[in-house]
Amino acid sequence: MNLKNLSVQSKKHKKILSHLKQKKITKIYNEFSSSLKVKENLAVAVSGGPDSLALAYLTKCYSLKNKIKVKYYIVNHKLRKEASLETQIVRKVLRKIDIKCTILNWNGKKPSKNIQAKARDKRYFLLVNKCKKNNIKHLLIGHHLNDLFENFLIRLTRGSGLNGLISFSNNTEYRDQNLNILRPLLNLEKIYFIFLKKYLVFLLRIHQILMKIIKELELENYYTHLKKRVWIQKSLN
Amino acid sequence: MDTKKLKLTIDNLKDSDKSIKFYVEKNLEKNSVFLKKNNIYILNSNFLDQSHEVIFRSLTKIIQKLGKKYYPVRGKSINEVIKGISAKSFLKVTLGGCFIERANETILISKEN
Repeated sequence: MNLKNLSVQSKKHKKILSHLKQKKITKIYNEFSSSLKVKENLAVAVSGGPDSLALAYLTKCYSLKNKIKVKYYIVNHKLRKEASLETQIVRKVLRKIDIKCTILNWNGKKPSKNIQAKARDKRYFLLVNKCKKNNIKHLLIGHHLNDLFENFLIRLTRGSGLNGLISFSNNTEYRDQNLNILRPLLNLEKIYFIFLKKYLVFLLRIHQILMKIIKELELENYYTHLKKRVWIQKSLN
Repeated sequence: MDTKKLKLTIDNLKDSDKSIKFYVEKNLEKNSVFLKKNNIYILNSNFLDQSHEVIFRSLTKIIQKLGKKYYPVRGKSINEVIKGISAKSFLKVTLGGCFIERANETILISKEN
């Protein structure tokens, strides 16, 4: 690698970190880094929504500051026609902030019943396998405070016990597989990511495309969980 | 809706959950024995002398471990077994890939063949 290339990379990194000078983003980053506290290599699960894109950006900053390696993965479930295109868009967007995202494809037969649960299982299976291959012990997921509330309220209406009501925590070991699922955004509300989305233009572009698709799904009256999400988000606001 | 209060509620519930987990571990440690050779759990009479939530979680954990299942058995079924065990007429039952039977004052839980 010649000197010119090194200088370009350094400029890119400085540009990425320059956003942290903004007061509100500093606050978000400080909250994120204080709940993470990991100095080992990490993996990040990206979906393409504002939360996971914010997570990708914050992790990028964290990796530059702490000099650790981070792998970014996006799962293409191939359950909808648009899915492959979406993952490509997300990958291109992330490239703008020097993030190389690997697409993990779910090939083979797709289920006709219990789609969400099976897709979740498959998604984790693909992510865990990739982490094991790369000897990564921490997988970051973009769950935030509003997700915690949403889960709490859904389970409250289902008659869950104490164990179900508290749902997820900052740090969970995944099925005795020596992999920690970390949720460093869990203490932050969604409004922060909406702000981050507005501040960083790249987030806004991808979010608009995804919101359109989610609205179409709701109109199809297909996913009950999504419908509940809308109802809960409305009541929280 | 005050989200700060909601967060406080969830944090309080997490604390309560931690204390229950502590008593569940204690119950398993003091009132149950696992025989590796026979792959069998022996529960003494004090095992059922706890609060309902502690018995419920302890039994769920044992059945999940012996039955080698990722998801725990349904809460309704566990409640029915607890009810049955407490009754004098209880003899045996199968649940979550495990065989539960009474032997005098103790309860034996083994993997179903």
